Amino acid sequence: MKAPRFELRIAGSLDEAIRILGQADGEGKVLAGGQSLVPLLNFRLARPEVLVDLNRLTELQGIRETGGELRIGAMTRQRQVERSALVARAVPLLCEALPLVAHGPIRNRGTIGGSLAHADPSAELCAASLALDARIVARGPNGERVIAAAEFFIGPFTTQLEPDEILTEVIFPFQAADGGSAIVEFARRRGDFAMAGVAAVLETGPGNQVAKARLSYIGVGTQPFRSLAAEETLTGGTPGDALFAEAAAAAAAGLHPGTDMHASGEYRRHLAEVLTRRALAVAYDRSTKKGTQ
Amino acid sequence: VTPPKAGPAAGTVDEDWGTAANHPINRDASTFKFIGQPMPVLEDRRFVRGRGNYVNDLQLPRMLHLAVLSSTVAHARLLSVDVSAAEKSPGVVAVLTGADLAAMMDPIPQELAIQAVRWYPLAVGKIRLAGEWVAAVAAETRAAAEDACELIEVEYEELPPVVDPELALLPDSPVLHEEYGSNVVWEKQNTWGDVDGDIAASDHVFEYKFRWGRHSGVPMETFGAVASVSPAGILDLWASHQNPGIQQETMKVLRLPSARVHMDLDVGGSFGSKRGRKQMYLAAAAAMVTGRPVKFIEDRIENMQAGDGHGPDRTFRVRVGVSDGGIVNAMDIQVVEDLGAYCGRGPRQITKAISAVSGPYKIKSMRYGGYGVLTCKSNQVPFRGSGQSPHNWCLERTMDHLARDIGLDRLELRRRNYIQADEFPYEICSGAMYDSGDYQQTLALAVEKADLPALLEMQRAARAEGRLIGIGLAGAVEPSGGSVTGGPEGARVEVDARGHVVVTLGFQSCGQAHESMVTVLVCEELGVEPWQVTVERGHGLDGIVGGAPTGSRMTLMLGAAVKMGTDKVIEKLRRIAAHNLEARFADIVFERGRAYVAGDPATALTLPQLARKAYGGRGDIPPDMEPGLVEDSVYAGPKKVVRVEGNRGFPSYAFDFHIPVVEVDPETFDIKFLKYLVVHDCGTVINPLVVHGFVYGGIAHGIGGAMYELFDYDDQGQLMSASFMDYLIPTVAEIPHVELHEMSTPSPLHPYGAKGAAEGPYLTTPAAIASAVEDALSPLGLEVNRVPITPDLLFRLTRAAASPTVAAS
Repeated sequence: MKAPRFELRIAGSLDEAIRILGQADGEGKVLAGGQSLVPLLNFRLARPEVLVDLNRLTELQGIRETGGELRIGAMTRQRQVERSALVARAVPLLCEALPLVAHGPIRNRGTIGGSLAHADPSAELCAASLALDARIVARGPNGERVIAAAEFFIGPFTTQLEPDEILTEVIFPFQAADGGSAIVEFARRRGDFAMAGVAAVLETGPGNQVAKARLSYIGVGTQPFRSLAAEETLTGGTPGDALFAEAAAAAAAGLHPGTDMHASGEYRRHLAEVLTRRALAVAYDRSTKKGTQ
Repeated sequence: VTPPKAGPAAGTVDEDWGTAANHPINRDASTFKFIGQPMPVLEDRRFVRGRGNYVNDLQLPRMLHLAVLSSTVAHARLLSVDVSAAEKSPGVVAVLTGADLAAMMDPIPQELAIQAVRWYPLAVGKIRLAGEWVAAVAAETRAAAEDACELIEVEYEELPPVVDPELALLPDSPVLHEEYGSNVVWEKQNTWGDVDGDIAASDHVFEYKFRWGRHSGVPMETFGAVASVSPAGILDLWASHQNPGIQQETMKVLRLPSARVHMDLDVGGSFGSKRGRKQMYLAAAAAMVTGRPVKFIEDRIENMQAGDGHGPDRTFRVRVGVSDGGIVNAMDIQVVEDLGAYCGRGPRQITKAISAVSGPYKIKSMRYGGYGVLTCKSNQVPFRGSGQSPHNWCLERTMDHLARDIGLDRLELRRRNYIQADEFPYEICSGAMYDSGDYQQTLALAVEKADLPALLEMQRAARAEGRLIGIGLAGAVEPSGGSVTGGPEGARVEVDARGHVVVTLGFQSCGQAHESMVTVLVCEELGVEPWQVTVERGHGLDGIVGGAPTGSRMTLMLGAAVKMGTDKVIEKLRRIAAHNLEARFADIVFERGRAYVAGDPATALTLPQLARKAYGGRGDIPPDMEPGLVEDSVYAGPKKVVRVEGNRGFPSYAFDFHIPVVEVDPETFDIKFLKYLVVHDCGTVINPLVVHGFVYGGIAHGIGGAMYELFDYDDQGQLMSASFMDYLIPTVAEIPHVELHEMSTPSPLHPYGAKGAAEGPYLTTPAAIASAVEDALSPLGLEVNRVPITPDLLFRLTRAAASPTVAAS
């Protein structure tokens, strides 16, 4: 379990990092926290010729609040986000999701941008970014662009990022005043990749109807995704066990999770349905308790 | 000690049952100053500070690093292995193949001496499991060696994989070792009493089937070895192994005149699974070929796929006859054991059960037998209890099912069949002799401490709300002090001229705190303080007889050897005192480090004074005495020895009883612990901190086997759980708080009355958890017949129960 030979380039600036990545001509990889990439290197499953290390780029680190939005630098450590009072207040789902990501020592190194760019279908942060309708900022030789989370993930471990682009920042809208959120997953052990999980955001409108709902899934698909069928079922409905069960059934009907040694596809789909009900109930409960907390 | 009372005789008795006079319990426990006190574990100091000395810490000048190429297929003929490109890779010094090894060494000895089943560190001619090592590269760095492994070209002619042991038994199955001609390497029936007659005469007969999943003691440090050939031609070997006896085998297998196996290493927890013979021989062969020191540290996948460290993998079929009154008359247990690709040391995991085949129960007649089958999987190793945990799980599952099927309370059925306290020493039907115990009292204490009536009331109330809560009940005897499994045990006790003590042991530090145990005993006997005691380790050419920490034996075997050594030292000290105090030897008392004439404790010679004289001039010691205070002792175990099928009976039998309480989520099937209580009896406790560690660790290990850990193969023979991502070890987040209560029925056969403790709770926990989960699911009418018990399994069971046409697999 030793990595094959590669060239390590420690970037001194974002521009330099983009330049090195471009010169690698598709054979380069970006090293952020290294918590997924380094094991892949050691298993010899990833074999980049050049590694571009972003760890010295302070310009990619930090949490800012601008105009009702939270902007988190791609190289901000997960642990820092998890512990941020600002994040807890403005985007509570993110703070709820982070303790589910592996273990403390891994989150000390792991970054927000690294997790999203890796696009693991089991990643809590990918699901959270979808449920929160986050926007992802990428920069390449041709400048900067902003990609909606809903468009960012396009396949297993695959995103919209071009080989010479670097994810620089993630923008999270603040949670709506009449909104509630929850993330629920079921893993064999604390910190494991979940067998199934769901992130839910609910916003209620006048007359206590569901105005907006977003549901995204963990570990039950080939890529991070939302259940548009369940969201449609919820929108305009009256929150409650019946509606949540209907939405969960709609979500489950669209799931075709695979089987592995830990869980059959059928069991994962069953779990996803159960967890959807539970997540919606918690999210709704939280939305009704706004201001009392 | 009275002669055995019950049970038919079986096996052959080599010698008389030992008597208290042969092995007197040292003295009244209330006089102990060190024994039984919670002394901080000496080894922990270096471990928790990261200062342990593991094999991978060892650096030798000019040392090379080894990597192996693993087979991608499970079963194939090896048509060619082309290493020419690998030999030219940067940093490579040598590349070895199976053919190279077959020319320079003997096959590795295995548990069953079957000539036609030959086993080498690298595959010779054939691949028999996915991950089997095909070639090895010695290079300047491990990375360079791995680079070169990628350049080796292997041509396979694939054969159908042999994965299911029940199919491997059949005559039309493809065969792993064609020269042997069958996959069945162990086929035996042991019958004690008229089993068939007793079953036929029983009021009720039931049949059950249970499946135990393959798991093991999985080490943090994988197996590793460093080998080097000295200028004098002596092979020096350092390895994370637990078998000092390997020295003799090493010389034989590698055809060497001499070898030192260095034991001054920390192995970490061995659990029986640290016995990497092929790893040691491979490193040694590479050192012999290159003339340079060679280090081989398995990576995680190499360790899990082909490190020969897997535990039992067993199917049980039980037929049991019981009376209306709930007395178990006879039991027939048939096993199919999936041994993996070579005999290795796996068969011992089937036969050890004979030493406690009926567990804590009086069962008049039994049959125990079946098949040991070779398949395309990793070899086994006798780990933690050597098959006793699955066997006990089978017995306790049988008792729970019996209780349900005859409508008797689970506890009451156990009470009616337990060996009674006044029946010890008790000879079970297989001929094994249990030394002592009080199972009724242990059970009663567990029930009392757990407040079982309150638990039952809580369960009733919770069930009314639709919650699934279960109470587990299980006990196990722990055969301990294995006297033949590891051979006799020796120690050198040396008192230096200052009166400080050095004890040299013949085996490695393997996680059972032997240094602490020896220190406690030396302080107790010689009246020194812990800081005055040093525990050293030998290397095999220094005359220290070392067995191995197997079969929960070290406190019994090594503890007794140390006691023999301190007894010899004390006798010499008393002679020196008699000489100097001008008294008769018989009148000299040695107590707490002082020697004096009986009745005159004020005029005493202290240990330092006596020690100075022992190493002093002619006049200081009796004229016929050899100077010095260095004593070698070897302890062979108590006299009573029962041999059944090549296994010896064990000198002592510990016991514990567990009551876990679990809650199962009826939707997700998550299993949560609400309580875990254990009552543990291992006789005299030398150091409670060490014993408590064994109990907590054993329960954690048992939770792993019962709920999480599985070496799971797909139908192509590929190991799906070859890393810690999929082989799930419970962490601190999954382990409940354990409420521990102690009992003590000292062994009459040991100088201190001690029994083994290191395997115990692991032998019981899977049975207790299965009992608890099944109790939780009883409103749904579900049975738990396999481990690990996973949420996915419970989902399948509920689905199968809901639609009876779909059978649960």
